[in-house]
Amino acid sequence: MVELAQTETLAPLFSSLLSDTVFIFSESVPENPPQMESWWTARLSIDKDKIWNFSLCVDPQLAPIVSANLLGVENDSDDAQKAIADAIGELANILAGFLAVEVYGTNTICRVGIPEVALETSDQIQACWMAAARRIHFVTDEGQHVLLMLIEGTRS
Amino acid sequence: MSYCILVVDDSAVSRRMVCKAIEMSGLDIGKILEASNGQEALKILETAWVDVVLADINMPVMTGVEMVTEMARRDFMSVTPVVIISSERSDKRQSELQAQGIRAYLPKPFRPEKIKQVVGNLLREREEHPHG
Repeated sequence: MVELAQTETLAPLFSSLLSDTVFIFSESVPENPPQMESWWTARLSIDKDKIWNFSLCVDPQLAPIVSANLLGVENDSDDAQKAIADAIGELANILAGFLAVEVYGTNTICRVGIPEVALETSDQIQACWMAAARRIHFVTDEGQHVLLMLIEGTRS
Repeated sequence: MSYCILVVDDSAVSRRMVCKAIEMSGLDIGKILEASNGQEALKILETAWVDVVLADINMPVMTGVEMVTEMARRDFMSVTPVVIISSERSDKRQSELQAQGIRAYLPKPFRPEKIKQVVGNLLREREEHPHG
């Protein structure tokens, strides 16, 4: 007799499967950053034996979607717009937590800085674009979106 | 009997996510208080009865670790259970905080069901032993 799986068992399984196969939905990335008026950037440091500077750049159309999804509200709502900076900072913070464990493992405590969030021009993010460890380009109903992640290490 | 929860996080988005998870949980929560750092949380704990504290680690002014250390020093930990919700995923950090008396450690991003389970268990304990 086949036993029905519990929702609690299936939910993490589906999440894991989707995260492992998300590359299927990504698009090829252009050579230069698309010219947009401004990009949302969050920068923070991960401090241990050296200082790692982590940057996250999010295109201006994607930023309110991130914010709305974290808050559970509509993309075009005032709440989503007002919370963009906070949401991008929080996303960078969560990603930095994963990166710290990837670099140092779980038996080390790293000092993760408070994210600094700003609006930057395409020219300002050019260096980040060229060096980004991960450039993700994907398409949703709202259009094409780009998200960049860069981590650079310097001696402390 | 309805309970009071204190959510401590410098990110308003993060506080909202935690509050939403609590509201969705169906637990009998009468009041959710919010603080944006450990210092603000301690001020609230001095004046208001709080059944469970849900706190981040990485905050300006006073971090979650400093808040827990101060709560342990003032003997608050035996009365008010603390759950850490943080993007820090270090087992070493978790062990250190558990040694100071925190009751649970949830890594971000969290699942609302996990918050319901952890807070629900702590509130059930509260009901069985109302004086901590």
